Amino acid sequence: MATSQASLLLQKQLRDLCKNPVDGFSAGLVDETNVFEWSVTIIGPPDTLYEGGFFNAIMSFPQNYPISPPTVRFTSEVWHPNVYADGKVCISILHPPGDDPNGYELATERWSPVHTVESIVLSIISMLSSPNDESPANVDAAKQWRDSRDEFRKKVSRCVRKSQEMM
Amino acid sequence: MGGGNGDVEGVSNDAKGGDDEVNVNIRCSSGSKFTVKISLSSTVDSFKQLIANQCDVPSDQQRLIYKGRILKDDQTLQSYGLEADHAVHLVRGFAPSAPVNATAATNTGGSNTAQTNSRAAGSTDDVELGGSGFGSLFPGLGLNGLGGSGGLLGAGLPEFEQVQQQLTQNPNIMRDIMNTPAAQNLMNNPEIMRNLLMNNPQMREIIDRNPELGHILNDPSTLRQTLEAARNPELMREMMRNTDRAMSNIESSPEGFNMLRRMYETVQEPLLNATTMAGNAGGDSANPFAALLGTQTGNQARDGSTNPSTTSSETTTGSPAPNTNPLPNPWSTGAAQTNTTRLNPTSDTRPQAPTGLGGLGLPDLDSMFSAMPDAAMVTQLMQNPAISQMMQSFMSSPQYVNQILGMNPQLRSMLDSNPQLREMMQNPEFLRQLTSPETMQQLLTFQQSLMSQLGQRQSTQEQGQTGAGTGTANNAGLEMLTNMFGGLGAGSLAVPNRSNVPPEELYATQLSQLQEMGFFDTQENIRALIATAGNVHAAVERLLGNTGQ
Repeated sequence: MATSQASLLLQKQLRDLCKNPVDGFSAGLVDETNVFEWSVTIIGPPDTLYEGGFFNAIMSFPQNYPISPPTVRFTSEVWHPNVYADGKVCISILHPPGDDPNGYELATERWSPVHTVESIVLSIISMLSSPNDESPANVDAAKQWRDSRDEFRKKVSRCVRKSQEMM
Repeated sequence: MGGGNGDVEGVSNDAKGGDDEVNVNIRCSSGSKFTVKISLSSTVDSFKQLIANQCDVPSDQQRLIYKGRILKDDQTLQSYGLEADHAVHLVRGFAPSAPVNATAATNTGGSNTAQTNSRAAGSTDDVELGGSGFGSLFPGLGLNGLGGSGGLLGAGLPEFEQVQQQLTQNPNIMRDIMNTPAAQNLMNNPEIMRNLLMNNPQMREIIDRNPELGHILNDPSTLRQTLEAARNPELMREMMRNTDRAMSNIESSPEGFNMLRRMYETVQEPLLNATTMAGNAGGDSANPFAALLGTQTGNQARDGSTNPSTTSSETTTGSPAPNTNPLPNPWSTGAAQTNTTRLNPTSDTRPQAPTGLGGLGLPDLDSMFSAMPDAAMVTQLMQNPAISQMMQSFMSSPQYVNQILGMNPQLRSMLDSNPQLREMMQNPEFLRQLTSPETMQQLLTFQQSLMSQLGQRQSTQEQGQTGAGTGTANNAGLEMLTNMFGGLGAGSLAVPNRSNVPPEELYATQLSQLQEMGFFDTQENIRALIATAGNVHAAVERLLGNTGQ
């Protein structure tokens, strides 16, 4: 029951996004038969270091979506304080609900069932434009972002270039 | 790639038999939207052509994204599951990298489309025209050795190399090419130029690593200027002359060497580093920047006949494992370079053109630097009446200085923080005094004594260390010496010039600055300022150095 609710919800979101896509990203299914695995291409937001890049990510929804949040993992290389080396995105709204044991995030900043693919990806886009170095996923990137912005910039533009070459 | 365009009109005319056309919404990254009618069985390539009719993004720059996937040219729309009324994202990207020539041809729409296309297909007949058009862009761009090495376009074709050689030997061909409508078109469209550049992965790599260079390359006016210079030999010579003069002038003014050094550090060193990396990755022939490693390779290609002895001695330094030859070290190269460029201005004008553009005038810069520490070289230069003449005429025109200074952001910021320096640089009176034979002589003596020290230091370092280590060590040594030189040279010049004004008055602003910085000993401050001709930064360095001892 829960499964069908999840898939219905996801199918509806997919339909909406195909007809009325949101600026800044494009989303579809990795495999047309599995509505729980989405492939998302995020267009590097203009006026940020990531401008011009095309970053692919896989969004995996749990069977009990929207009770639990999906995970988002970049398949393109993304150098960012809030993206793990393996591409996993670390933003508060993707963290399971409830208070953060570490006390970093408020319950209101964490996952809530009202979030959709659109709101998640928009959060990721906003994360790209303003990294949060408070609780970094990629410590090296966060350090670079804080201490040597030029190096950071170079590394990011290399990622952008790579993402362009993939096409 | 070039062949895929044939069936475009078929699609738009609904000639694709049987299939119904559907509406597909296109969303541009700029936010605008429009609808294209197309059959779902058509290819992405033809879809792009249709889109190109409705927006300003040429088809080869279009990136279509649908359902999280980037659409590939040779696939059909159906294969991506595109349906009626669905929306596709359109983003402007760079033109594809492999078929550079085809890209340029479509963009210019010029008369040589056929030629360039056939060149891409590998025929040799048209190589001369089509190929040289592109080759010529690069030397003009100021990355001197690039064109010469022939690798920039990733082609590395032997014919290409030949063409370039021919080109350098015969400036007329060059001019003719630059005067063709297609080339003119190119000049009027810096976007294409930029694309050409960005299409080269190595080039991109380098730009990525050095955003400052990217700015220069992205500046349309710079590109246009270079192209213009490449077309017009007169202009090119003029630019060369200007730069040469400017360089020698800066060198001889207080702090000038330091400025040049800084310029070197911000522009040339990153480029060389980038080159090194590219060289390690790509091997010699694939590395267009190999030529920049002291410009030897470029010279080999061009001046092999005119200067065989030099080039042979340079072969080692030109190899893509350059760390064994630290940057400040190959002075012999500098001498050689000066010989080839100075004495053969007509046969080899092209590679010099970029120096006129300042920002990227690397090889020339290199030769300047190379020449500096070589005392004999400097002496020669200084005593050469032609050169002092040149410098003199340059000195009388402060705009040149401004021009040079304006071209380097670093320099500019330095000047902004040191208004006195700017004043000094702009004061023709001062500059004239600076160039007076006595001052020159004085400066020269300083230089010589310093440089002999430098030579010793370098040679000991070289013995002590081998391989990659030498680069940094020598750099440090050079830096120390240049600092010293900056201070001493400046002092020797400033004192005779301004002795009639009490230093407290003369350096009032600097003194208060130093006070604010926490240097309270006024006498000491004044001494430091006098010695550094009022340069606060240098004075601070000096003061700190004194307390440290």
